[in-house]
Amino acid sequence: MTTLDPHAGNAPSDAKAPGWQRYVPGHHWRTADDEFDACKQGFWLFLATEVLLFAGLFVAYAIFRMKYPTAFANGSHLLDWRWGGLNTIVLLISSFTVAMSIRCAQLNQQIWLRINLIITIICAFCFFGIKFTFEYIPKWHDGKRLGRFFDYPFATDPHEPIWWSVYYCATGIHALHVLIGAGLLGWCLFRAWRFKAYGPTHYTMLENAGLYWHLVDLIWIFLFPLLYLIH
Amino acid sequence: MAEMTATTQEWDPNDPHHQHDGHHGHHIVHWKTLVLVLGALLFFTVLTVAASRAEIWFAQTFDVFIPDWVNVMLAMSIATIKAMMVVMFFMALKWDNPMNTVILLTTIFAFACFMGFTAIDLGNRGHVYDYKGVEVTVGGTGNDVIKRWETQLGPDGEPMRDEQGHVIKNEVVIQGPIAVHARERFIAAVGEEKFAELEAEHHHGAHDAHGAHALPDENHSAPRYGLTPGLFDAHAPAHEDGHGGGDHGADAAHGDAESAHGGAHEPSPEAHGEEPSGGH
Amino acid sequence: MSAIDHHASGAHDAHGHDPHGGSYLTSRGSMFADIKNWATTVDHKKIGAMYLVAVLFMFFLGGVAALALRLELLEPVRPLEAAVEVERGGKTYVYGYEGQLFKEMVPSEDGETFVQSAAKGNVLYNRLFTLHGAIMVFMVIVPGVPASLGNFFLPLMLGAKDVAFPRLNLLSWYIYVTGSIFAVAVILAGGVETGWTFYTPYSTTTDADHWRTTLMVASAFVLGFSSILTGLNFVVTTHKLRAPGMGWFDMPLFVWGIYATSIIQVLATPVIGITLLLLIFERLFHIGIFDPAMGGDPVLFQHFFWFYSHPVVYVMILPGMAIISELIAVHSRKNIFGYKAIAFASLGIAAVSFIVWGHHMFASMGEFGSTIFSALTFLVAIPTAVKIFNWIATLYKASIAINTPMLYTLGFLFLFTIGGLTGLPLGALATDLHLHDSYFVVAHFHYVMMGGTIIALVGGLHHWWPKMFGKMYNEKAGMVGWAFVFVGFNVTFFTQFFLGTRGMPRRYASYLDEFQFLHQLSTLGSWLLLIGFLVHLFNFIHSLAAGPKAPPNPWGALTLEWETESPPIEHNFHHEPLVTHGPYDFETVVPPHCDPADFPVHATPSGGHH
Repeated sequence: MTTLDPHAGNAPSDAKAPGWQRYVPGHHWRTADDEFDACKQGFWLFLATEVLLFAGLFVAYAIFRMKYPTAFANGSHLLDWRWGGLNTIVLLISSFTVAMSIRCAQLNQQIWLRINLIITIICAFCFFGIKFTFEYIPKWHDGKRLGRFFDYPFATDPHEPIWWSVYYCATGIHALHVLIGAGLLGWCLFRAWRFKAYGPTHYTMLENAGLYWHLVDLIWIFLFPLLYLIH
Repeated sequence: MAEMTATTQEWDPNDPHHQHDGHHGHHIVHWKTLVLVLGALLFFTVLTVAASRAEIWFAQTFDVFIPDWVNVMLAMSIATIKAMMVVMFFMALKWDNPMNTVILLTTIFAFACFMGFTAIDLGNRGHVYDYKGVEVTVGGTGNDVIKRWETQLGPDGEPMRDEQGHVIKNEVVIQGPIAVHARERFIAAVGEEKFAELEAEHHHGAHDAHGAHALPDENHSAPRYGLTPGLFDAHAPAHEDGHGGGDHGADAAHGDAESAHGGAHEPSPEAHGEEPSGGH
Repeated sequence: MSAIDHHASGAHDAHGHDPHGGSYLTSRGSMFADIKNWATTVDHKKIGAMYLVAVLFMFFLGGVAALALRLELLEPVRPLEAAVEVERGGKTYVYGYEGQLFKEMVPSEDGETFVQSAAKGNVLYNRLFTLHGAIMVFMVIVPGVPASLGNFFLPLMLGAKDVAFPRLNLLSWYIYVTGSIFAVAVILAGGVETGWTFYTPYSTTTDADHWRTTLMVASAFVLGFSSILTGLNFVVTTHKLRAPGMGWFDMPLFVWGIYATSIIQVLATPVIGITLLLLIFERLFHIGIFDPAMGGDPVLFQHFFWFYSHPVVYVMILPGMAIISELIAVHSRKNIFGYKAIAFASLGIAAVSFIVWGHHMFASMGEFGSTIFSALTFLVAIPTAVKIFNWIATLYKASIAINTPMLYTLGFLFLFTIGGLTGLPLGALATDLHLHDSYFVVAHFHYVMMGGTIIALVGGLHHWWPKMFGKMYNEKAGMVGWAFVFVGFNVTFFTQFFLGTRGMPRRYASYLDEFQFLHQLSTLGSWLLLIGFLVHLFNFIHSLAAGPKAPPNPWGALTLEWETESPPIEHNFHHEPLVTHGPYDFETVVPPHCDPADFPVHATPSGGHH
């Protein structure tokens, strides 16, 4: 966050100092710590809204699984747990690297901060690539599509279109979050690279982007067994 | 939360509400902790997959019926443990301002209310309104009309192309369950024999019918124990029972499909009615 | 609570000659500079004022729709005994019905004769009540109080310089405007006929080939983000930006109410987000989740919808209650009775709101779910009644000032109590099955939403008007406006209780002849309401143009916003305030900027809050 009042604070005006040292908190905050704490609390509230957004999809899953267990069992068997599992591992590793990158910022290890962020972003695109190339595209080609596009001739339960709708909505919205998260982390990487924006006294944006990324991971931790393993 | 009343004499201008008593917010997590947590998460991932596979293997090998909830409880418990580890260590809630934990718990409370009460109602509806439940529970009402563009399928089940190589598309109006429509139009294109062959391949076979991208044995490694017998079969034996409660999905779906089509469609072959049907 | 650093405030007297002490309304010189300044401002006061203007504009739009509805209902649609033919411009017009306001002339086969169609008139009626409902709920009542008065006064009451995330605050205003523009675009394109609840299958089958319904749903979806961002901002502001010395129980009750509201906004709004998103998918891709034809469940939509929309009923009413708690204490000059009870009742209402949504769907739920929800619904009555009793106890032996804010407060108590008590027969399963979807329901929620929230908003607007714009309004005109609004409101909606119990269903363009008298009375009331609001509008405009300058603290109130000037300076306070007394300690504290002779301190034996 940039300052709202350029006269506030007493940061060094030296343009060569790394970005994190030059940071000045907003004029309505008493201390940088207060601001950090508030931003983090605000972000947790935002994460709460994300959880409840996905709650709708989880409830839809639960209700329709309860109503049409056969269709959901069939649908689950039409997914390959190996791709799901691989994606889980990819996301877990990326979660680890993002946590490491925050640690690096706290210790002012700028190079490792960048490396960790790069690995995280690569993982994000791996996840997305796997999802698209090995799951969405072949499935779509088979006619296992959502809603009105459904065209899979070998469905053995008339409710399988509902399964595919839930599958595409849940994983699709999750994949969108993966992309947004990758974008946020990419922005962090850019700022870290260009301005050394994150360091021991200021890393709010990185912390929050990290929290967002962990949330994406959390959602997948639940989606994976629900979609791929439960039958 | 915060103090009940402010004590002005101990007031610190930089910390008016004593929010910084703990060292939350700036705790540096040791890398060993992070590595350990990652290891544990990967372990639990393998465990949950293994448990799911093992359950199938167990049920198959010893021919026992394992109720649904075992599988669900196991997978969800492991997922919850994993989620807790991510939240506590990766998201550092363990060392964070406790208020953030309160936010998370409140969210879970709201989630639980949402899930719980919706399930309480929708899970009990079938018992209350049997006469309505039938219609909604099985196969849809079939009263729906979907308009869409559809490729024209050739005898090999692949879309047909015109001279320029464009896929031929026709606008169609679908009435009744869309899954039934997809099946029927495929049968109309490839013939029943080929269909039965492809279907068997799909459900038990080694590869995906159209699977250019597919893994060797994608999709169908597990037995399809949950199949509804005779669902698409015009001569399903259960048809005459007629009292179709909410739990007899097959009969009513069939009845619906038939009535929606006004008996116009060809009866499906008996061939695919012989799939394993252990689950019920 | 005052800026008790008197040693400091002595240096800058109340009428501020502080170098950076210009009011937030001070012009930047040119009109262009002013527009740029307001459009890019992160000042919560300006954003609050912009919200106020936007909300009042949408209130005007929704109000016009309501007046049109009431006008149409002046007469039932009766088929004429013999069709009337009228020649006009070489064409023949055939009228087959009388009493239909929304006439639609459909060309018959010859192309020269135009026949009156009742069906199309009904469609128009459906569109109007949908627009009235959707605008009033999503664009007026939900954001109304928190985003305008809340934005303006929450930081001031906490003694903060701004909300926690000022730029997010501006973003939320722009999102609100975007959503509202979507809605206005839909109106201009012809409107939608789904009802404000967007129930499936109305929302999936009507206007099937048109984008209007999708855009209207998208509008509500976008507005949700605005609501979330505002709520999130207020929660963090309340946690982190309280002035030194202000503990949780030193906060004004307005802040408590807005805080509870914000919690609901954060927790409930995302669910409407996913619901509307799925609804958009349903329209675009026919995903079937809410479509029984594909095995989906329209009742699932209702559960999704009401999981948001019931808590949001409290997003609508809690800020109204918050305003009333403030007004009643200030204008009766008495410490509020049961401060903590009211504060916890706000949180209690917020918590209970998440487990009672089923009472909106007794007609579509199973008996088991209905029974549970009916029982839980009565829990809401407890914290609500706690508040009502506390307010009434506050009035006991108080020095009640009869002015517009106080009249609105009393009006609120009267109307909201009726609204609340008529909620009980609707919450009781047995009676609800008779009353549901009747005018009884319409009357009930108008008594709560309008008689509660809008009445509180108008009262609060009068109370804080001098602070917001630095001008006094005309007290007599305000009271005359109140009289019209109060009488008009009761004439409009009390009649509808009778209509409902006699079996008049809601959302119908016509009715049986026996209902005509009550309908006419109701329409008459809507005109009185219009007059009342116009009086207020002109009063406010007159106040801005020619009203006397407002003193910093015209009501002798003790909360922090009255310590700064009217209108407040750019950075709210000359010095960070230090809080040393409760917000309602009228018995012991001389109000800031006030002559003790005007607001005498007399230690009456009433329950203090500490």
